[in-house]
Amino acid sequence: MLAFAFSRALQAIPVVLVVGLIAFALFAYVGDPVLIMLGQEHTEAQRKLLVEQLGLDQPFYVQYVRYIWAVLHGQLGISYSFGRPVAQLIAGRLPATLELASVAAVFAVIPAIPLGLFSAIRPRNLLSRGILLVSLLGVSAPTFMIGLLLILGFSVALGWFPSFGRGQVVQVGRWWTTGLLTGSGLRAIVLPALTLGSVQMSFIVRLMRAEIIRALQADYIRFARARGLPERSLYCVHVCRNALLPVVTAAGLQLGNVLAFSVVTETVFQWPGLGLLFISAVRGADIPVMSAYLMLAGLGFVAINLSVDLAYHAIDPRLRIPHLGASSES
Amino acid sequence: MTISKTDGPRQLAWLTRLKRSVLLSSFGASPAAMLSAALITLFLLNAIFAPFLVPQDPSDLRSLNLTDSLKPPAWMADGVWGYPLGTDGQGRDILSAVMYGARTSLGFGLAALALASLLGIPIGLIAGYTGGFLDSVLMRVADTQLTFPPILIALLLDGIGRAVLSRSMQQSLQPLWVVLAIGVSLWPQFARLVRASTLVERGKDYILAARLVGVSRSRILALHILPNIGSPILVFAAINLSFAIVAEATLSFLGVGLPPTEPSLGTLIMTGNDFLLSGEWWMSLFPGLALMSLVMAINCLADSFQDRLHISPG
Repeated sequence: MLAFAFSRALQAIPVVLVVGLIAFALFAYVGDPVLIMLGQEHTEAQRKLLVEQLGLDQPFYVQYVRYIWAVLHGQLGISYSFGRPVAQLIAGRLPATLELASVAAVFAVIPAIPLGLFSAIRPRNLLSRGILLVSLLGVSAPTFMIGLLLILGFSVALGWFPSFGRGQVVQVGRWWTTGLLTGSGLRAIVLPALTLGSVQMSFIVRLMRAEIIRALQADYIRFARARGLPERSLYCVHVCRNALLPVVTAAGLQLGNVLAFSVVTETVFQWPGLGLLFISAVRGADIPVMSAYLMLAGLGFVAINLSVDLAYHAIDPRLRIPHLGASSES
Repeated sequence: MTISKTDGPRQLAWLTRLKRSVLLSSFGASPAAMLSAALITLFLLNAIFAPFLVPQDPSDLRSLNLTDSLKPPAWMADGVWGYPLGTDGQGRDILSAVMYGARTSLGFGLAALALASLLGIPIGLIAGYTGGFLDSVLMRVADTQLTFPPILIALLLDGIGRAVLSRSMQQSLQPLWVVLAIGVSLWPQFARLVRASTLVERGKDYILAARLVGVSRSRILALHILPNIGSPILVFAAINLSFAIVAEATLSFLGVGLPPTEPSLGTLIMTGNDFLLSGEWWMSLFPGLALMSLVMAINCLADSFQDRLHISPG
């Protein structure tokens, strides 16, 4: 197990370095940082000084190593549009996005598993067909359309939830602001979290259904039926345990997409998180923010993939036997 | 010798092939697939004939009438039948805007898809056929890109475009850049699928035979392997077409896609979004419904093809 974890972590390192290289290339070569920092009017001496200070006269690989070193120390450069350190900007926005993503995950997973199970067990039931149709809609419909429809229904027509912002937030500790402790904050998170969760939920429902249908055809289920096990324990104990494995993996890998969809969701609801920071950076060509986001997202995705891999390995004992593992992976 | 003589039997052979085709027979089996196919046909016809069908040319400012601005759809209290789906803040007919927008969305989706397959298919073929060092380098690149969701890649490329190009150049190149950003964001999926199928085909006897008689490598790839891995690629392309359309709509909705001078459905939804809270919902809802039905129809059809061909998603 430890050897496996080690080799997987080693495989992840080149990916991080390549992403870092691209982030660095963006940072150093797209646009002229000296021009942007000094403005149009400056003397040659000023320019030279800044070039030396920034280390831009050093060879490429030295700059790259320095960049990685700085990133590892949490120095991500200074935003062109805000004029503040990128790390500080990101730290300020991170709580909003993490809260949104966690609430969305709760909204997604809790209904998705029973719905998927039900639609697999009773495929001809009218409700199952409904579930399937809605999940197809959830997978196909663009995220921003789901958000707009929710705003239209619950903000404009019914007036139950606010359509933008994070409500009132409370400072917790030094680094964290939370909206989950105030009434307006709780009301504000409902619609964005539903929007962000809907994609995840539809995805999990469809996958869950497919996996359970597959598990139901397995020999051990037929045997369990032949033993006369009651349906309830059959589904809950035997089917679910085996069907949940791939679902957990795929849902974990989907976390990366949540980050992407959060950009859209946060724009629709003007949610002051990382996604909104990123999209304003794209609009304003704010390269330091973009490259920091790239770096951060890359690290996040690699970490997610790695932990999903390890979790899968830990949950599924078949993978620990080398020759069996190869066949069950395909 | 006349052309019609040689053409006759050939056409008939085509017809019988079409009748026996697996793809076509899957329509009969599923009403949802038939409905989707009808919807897609409708969108295609609209894409071709929209300029002749629209009640009003939305890009022609002279045809706009400011007194007709912000009309609700015709069936509502204030609506007029001249504007069946209402008008926007400048008196633009929403139906006409949606028809043109659907055309733009479909066109840009197809263009981005074409770029993705132009990049991904040759790379996948070469990687799968040659193997070795080149293969591992290409696939490493693809894997690294695949760690990121495609829409993030497209957004990032879009932002780089803004930083690299001067303002005037950026504005004129923006539509092209959108195609580039989405196309590049999608190539690794194609490359992976094509590579996997090529690996299977590579070992088969007919390829061996072709190599033995000295057929060149590029000819083997283009004329022997590619046609034999065609059907999974087509289904995969269909799924990715809906993704490309959504990606373009998303970029445009976020304000970094197509400019308002060339509005796609996403652009229309974005401009309509500003009016949503004041109760003028029709400006964003109708383009949204058009977008959703287009994407759903493509997905549904691709799903039924996939079931029929027993292809598991790449």
